[in-house]
Amino acid sequence: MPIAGDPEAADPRLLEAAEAVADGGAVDWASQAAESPELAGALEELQMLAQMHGALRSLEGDAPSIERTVLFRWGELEVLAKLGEGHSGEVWSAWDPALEREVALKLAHEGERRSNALEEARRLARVRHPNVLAIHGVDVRDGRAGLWMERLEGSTLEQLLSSQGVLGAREAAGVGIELCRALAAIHATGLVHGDVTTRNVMRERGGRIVLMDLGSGTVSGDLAVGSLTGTPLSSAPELLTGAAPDARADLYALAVLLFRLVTGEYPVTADSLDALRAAHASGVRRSLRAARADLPTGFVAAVEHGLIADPAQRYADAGAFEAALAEAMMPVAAGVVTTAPVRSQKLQAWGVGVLVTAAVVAVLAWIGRPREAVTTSEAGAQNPVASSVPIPQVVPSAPSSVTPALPPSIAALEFLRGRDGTAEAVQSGALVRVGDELWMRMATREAAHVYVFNEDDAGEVYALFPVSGTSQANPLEPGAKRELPGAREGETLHWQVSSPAGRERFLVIASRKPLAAVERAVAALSPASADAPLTYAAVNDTLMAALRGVGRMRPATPMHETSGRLDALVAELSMTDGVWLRRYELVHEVR
Amino acid sequence: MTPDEAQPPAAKPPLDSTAVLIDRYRAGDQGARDALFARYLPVLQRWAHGRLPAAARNLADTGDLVQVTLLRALSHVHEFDSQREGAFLAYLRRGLLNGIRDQLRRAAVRAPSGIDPEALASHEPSPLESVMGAETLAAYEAALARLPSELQEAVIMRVEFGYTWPEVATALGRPTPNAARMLVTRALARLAEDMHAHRR
Repeated sequence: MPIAGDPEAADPRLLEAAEAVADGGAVDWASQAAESPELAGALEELQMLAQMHGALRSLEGDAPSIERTVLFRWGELEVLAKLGEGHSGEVWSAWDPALEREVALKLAHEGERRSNALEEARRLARVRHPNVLAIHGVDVRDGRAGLWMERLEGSTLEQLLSSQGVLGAREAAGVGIELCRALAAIHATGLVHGDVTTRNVMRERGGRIVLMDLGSGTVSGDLAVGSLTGTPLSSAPELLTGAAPDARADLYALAVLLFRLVTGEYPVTADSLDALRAAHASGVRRSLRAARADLPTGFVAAVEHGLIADPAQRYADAGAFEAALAEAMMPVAAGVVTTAPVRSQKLQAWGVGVLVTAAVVAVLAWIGRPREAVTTSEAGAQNPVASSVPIPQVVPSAPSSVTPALPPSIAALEFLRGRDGTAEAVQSGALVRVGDELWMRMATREAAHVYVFNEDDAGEVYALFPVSGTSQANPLEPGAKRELPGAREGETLHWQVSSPAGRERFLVIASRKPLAAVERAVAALSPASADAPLTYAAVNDTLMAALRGVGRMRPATPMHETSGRLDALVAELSMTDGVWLRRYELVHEVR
Repeated sequence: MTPDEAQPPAAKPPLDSTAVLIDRYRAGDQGARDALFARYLPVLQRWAHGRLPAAARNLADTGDLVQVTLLRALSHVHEFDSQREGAFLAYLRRGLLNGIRDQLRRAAVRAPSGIDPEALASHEPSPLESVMGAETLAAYEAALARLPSELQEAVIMRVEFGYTWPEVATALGRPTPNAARMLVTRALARLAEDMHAHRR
């Protein structure tokens, strides 16, 4: 029997993106990939499908019979309207009868050295990458050199910056990652872009990030072409003193772009080229940390590294910059244990509630044997990462049925994992992976107050149960087996592993009596309601202190140690009469 | 709610009569054949529009190719046993795709000797190939073929043929437009996962 209604249900985040594609709506692919790096490959394919969907609609719309006003012809192309003009030429919209679609035609100014323009354009035409504007062709017609390329609909990053303000770190990192890939493709052909700025990057309607205006592209290290082809404020300092453009200069410009995306400003400003050179020479530049104190440290470090004046100290290549950005955002993605991006409509359709955990050690606690059953997991016993807190008594975990390890007040307890349409009782040390669903089945012989927490690799603790608005609430009545976290609006809810981590840990506390401090903490944390997606809230240090205050007090364990917060709680509760504990640690598969 | 969803399936033409039309045509009703032609010719012509490279368009008009394909498909309609409109459309699409490949091969045969037909075909991208790239399109076709038939039809109808949600619901026998939407959503997600898994 499928756990989730659909035995082959995809990741909810992938499904949400797929839904937008099906609707023909926009998807912020960069942000999606940055938030869900484990889905990046599938999202990339989905983006391709979105492009195909859009292209087919566009091709249908480009019926040959549509009348167009042709201003003039350039070879086979029917030139329709002028889109703009830059230092190296004019850009027109044109109809390509061979491709049967509208294209952008860039015509070099008359007098432009044709051989240079053609040679560069031919090289650029060899760059094929989803994040680089596609060049359809290059030629000289009627004495004018030109290249025609895909026509994009969207806004430049500069326009977005003006209309919507600065970006957050995650969104900017997503843009940066896509631009790193674009630059890697360009650099692989021996070219450099030469003018990576917010004006030369388009965010298409569908969310695709496209690096444009390759007209400044030059051969890496080619001094003859001239070193300062780009925007001075985005140019690497060595270019201002005559060095040849290379990949590292492009990466510096990308770091400037990211700086600008999150601050709206340039790291180094000046009124003239000489002043700019002087500013670089003196090492005077804005600090990203000072400009945006709220940005994650990893993101700040990744951008600052790209802005190092000495090119030898910067990223060696675009791949290194991409890796730094991805790594910088990983803790943010992994630490998010809030609401899954799932609407109730989907819950109904899929027959399952999806909750997000990042998490953890499972500590199950039962009523009945005071001071007895704080349990280390089997994995924990073998693994030095597990609890460092003294544990009064080690009892084997008993996940699937009534065993001698269960206290008299607990009739049954199962900790279940759902995967690929099958449910399986798991014990500590079991493997989990993103997408797995987890839940508990429990029967008590007397009323029990149960609380579930988890802890992620970053040491953050989250409250998972009880959750308001669900069918299960404290105290759990004795008798039949009950599933935690319960159901909402008739839909069974499970916890779902939604982000990669080293370990998944659960903490469940049970007590014959309500644990007042825990109750207050959980009530303060749980914003879920019957008509909103369930959200797990982080337990901050203050609340952790309150939780540890349950029962008899003992000195608080220092809270800065990762993976130590729940251990401290376990230690505290193990000293409390009528409270039972057991811990499980599940390990993420390495694939 | 999307604009499509606001429109109940009943408001659209009775697409579910395709099975009836096929049965009538099998029984020799030429009017049913004309009705099938009228229904599917424009749909398939639009679909073929982006699939034929310029070289092939010089050899056979898209409309002719679609008509020939449709005639051929109907002459073999006894092989078609599904009652789903979506399955019939997928069947026609398969026939048209084969027809396009035949045209490309013929074009290559008539090319000067020494030119590899496959190479000729690959050097003359269709508009869709120009946008997507031949490799991606091939990966898409392969992954599509690996999907269960109902999910294949869901993707084809929505993504390739641009059917509205009510139309997809009717053609695939789904109770509501939203149910059709969920089916397409799941199909796209699985397709993307499969493409990724096979390209690694």
